[in-house]
Amino acid sequence: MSSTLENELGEIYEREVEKLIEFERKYHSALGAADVAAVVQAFRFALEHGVDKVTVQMLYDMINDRSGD
Amino acid sequence: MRLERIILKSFGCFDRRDFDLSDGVNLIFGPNFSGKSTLVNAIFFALTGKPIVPKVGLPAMAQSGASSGTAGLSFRNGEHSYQLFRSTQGEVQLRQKEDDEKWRILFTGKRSADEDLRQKFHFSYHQLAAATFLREGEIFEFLARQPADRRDVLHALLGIDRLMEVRQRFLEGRRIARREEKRIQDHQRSMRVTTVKNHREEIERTEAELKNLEGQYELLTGEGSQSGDAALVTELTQAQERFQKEIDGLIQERATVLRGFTDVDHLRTSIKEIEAATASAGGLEKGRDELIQRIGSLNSQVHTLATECETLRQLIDSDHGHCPTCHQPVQQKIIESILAEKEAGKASSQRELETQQKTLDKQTENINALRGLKQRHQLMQGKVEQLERIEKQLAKLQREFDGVASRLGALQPTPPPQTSPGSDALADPTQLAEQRRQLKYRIDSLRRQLDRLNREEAVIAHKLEELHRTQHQANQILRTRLSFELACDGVDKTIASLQQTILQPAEKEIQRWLERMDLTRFSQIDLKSQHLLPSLNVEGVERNLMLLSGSEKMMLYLCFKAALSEALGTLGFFVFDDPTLHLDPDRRGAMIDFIQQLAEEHQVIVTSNDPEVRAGLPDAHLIETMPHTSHV
Repeated sequence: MSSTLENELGEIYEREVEKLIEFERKYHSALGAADVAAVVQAFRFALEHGVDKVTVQMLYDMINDRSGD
Repeated sequence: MRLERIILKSFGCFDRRDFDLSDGVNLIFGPNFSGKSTLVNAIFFALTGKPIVPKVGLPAMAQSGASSGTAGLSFRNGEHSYQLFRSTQGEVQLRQKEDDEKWRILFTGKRSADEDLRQKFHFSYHQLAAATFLREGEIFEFLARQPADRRDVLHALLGIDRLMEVRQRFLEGRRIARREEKRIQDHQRSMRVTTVKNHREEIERTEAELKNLEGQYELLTGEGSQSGDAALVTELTQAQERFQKEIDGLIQERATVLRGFTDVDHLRTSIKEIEAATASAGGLEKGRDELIQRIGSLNSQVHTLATECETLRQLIDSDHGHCPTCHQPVQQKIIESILAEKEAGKASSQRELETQQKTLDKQTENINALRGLKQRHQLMQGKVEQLERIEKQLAKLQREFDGVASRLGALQPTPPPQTSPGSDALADPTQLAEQRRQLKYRIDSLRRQLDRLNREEAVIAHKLEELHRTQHQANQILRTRLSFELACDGVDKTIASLQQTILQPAEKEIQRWLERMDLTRFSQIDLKSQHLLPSLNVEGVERNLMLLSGSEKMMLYLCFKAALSEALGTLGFFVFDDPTLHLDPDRRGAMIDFIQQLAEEHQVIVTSNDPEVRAGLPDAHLIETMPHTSHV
């Protein structure tokens, strides 16, 4: 992957997630900005540190804690 | 990135050789077995640490007979010059040229440097293999790949494999959320079953009934107040009588206790007199003991004297005139005088004994009288205490009696109650009291029932609160699960978007190259549907690369590489190993034209043993190789 693309990956993901929450009924009826932020943060975190170092529990806590805000 | 020099030591067929490279086209020209592909492999190996031909072990790349070989590469990236060396034993060293023209080692040793190189120079093994290098026979391997393999290559090329791993983590997170969601739903269901019924209605009904009964009770109490006075008078009179009886009983008891005394003071005076008498008779016991000892002594004395007198009389009555003890002759007169003396002593002691005996009897009598006094003292003391208790009780009863009498006195003047004609039953204190008692019983019963209902309601409220809390948890876990689903879908969309971002420009770039190469009969290039395998419309017919002629395949494949390189972020150079192989003269000319056009923007390194290619690239930087040896 080109470095430019890699740098943009987080932004691409965020755009795609925002599109999903805007157009998918099951998402926009239940989720809010905090959830989107948590999901994007978890994605960036996993990508930045590598899946070998990021456990499922870490991602779960990130998303679940933010969802509970 | 511009490659400047290939530096070999005991690598392939080369012992120790350096090959300078220039911008534009670099043609490595030589016959078969002269080391052309070795140079291509050396560049690839130096950059990636892997041989360009898969499944070749690193030691096999060293020169025959050498324990290790090294491939090095001088290159320029941005403002800096670098040297990268790799040994077939896995050692790697990267140097950077400093301003003072000295080389500084950035890293060295046996280590995996791929990530460091990727970070620093932004290239990867997959990018180099797929978009920068063309190795001999590669196109046939590419075409023979299964779609799944090509998809893996595409994923590796775009970094999708990492995204897939992230997606897998999200899927596992969603699994956990689903499990948790199910647990909470089960809990909710179990709670709903037990909390379907609540006591709200029953509590309201009981409260209303209770209020009604309490109202009735208050009304009844108000109406019966006057009748109640009579009942109270009766009750108080009864209490007064009871108190009087108790008082009388106590007075009688007091009289019994005081029998023989006029009053308590008299009793107390007598006690004091007894105490004085007993105090004065304190030495009686001791005197009596002394008397008893004295009497004993006198008794003994009288008895001794009587014995001696008897002995002396026997001596006088005997005729032999000798002492029975010492057998000496004794005079009768002397014996008689001794006897008289002894008799007189005996009589004196006997008198004294009698006197002492009388005194002892008197003392004994006094002591007995003293004991009697002490017993009487104790008895009188008990009486005093008993009298004090009676007095207290009498005082208390008298107060209560006076209180009752006072209340009675207050009630007595009250006029008789005015009863209405219809309230005869209520006017009767007994009936009224019974009615009130029944109402009170019902009220108490309802209050207890209300308490029970309220307690149960509190339990239900607690459960409802828990249900509410669980519902909150359920909502939260639903959001978590949906978030994970969103995260997964987001990764899918990102992968699709990434493919679109890379493949769409690549498709356009291929189209542009085809137009530049005047191959316009190929159109509508599609790289996505068959995972990188170019699918194209040839004069109105959908075909993929596999179905084209050999020369078309090669032309299109190189266009594909150039386009992919551009889309991924070009590295600035291409290395093609014998791209004109199997091409007819026309296609060879087209390929040379393609290489020259590519070299207008990039550094191109090409190998060939075809003189026509050499002739077709007159401006190329020529690197000639010879079998088993080489020279520039």
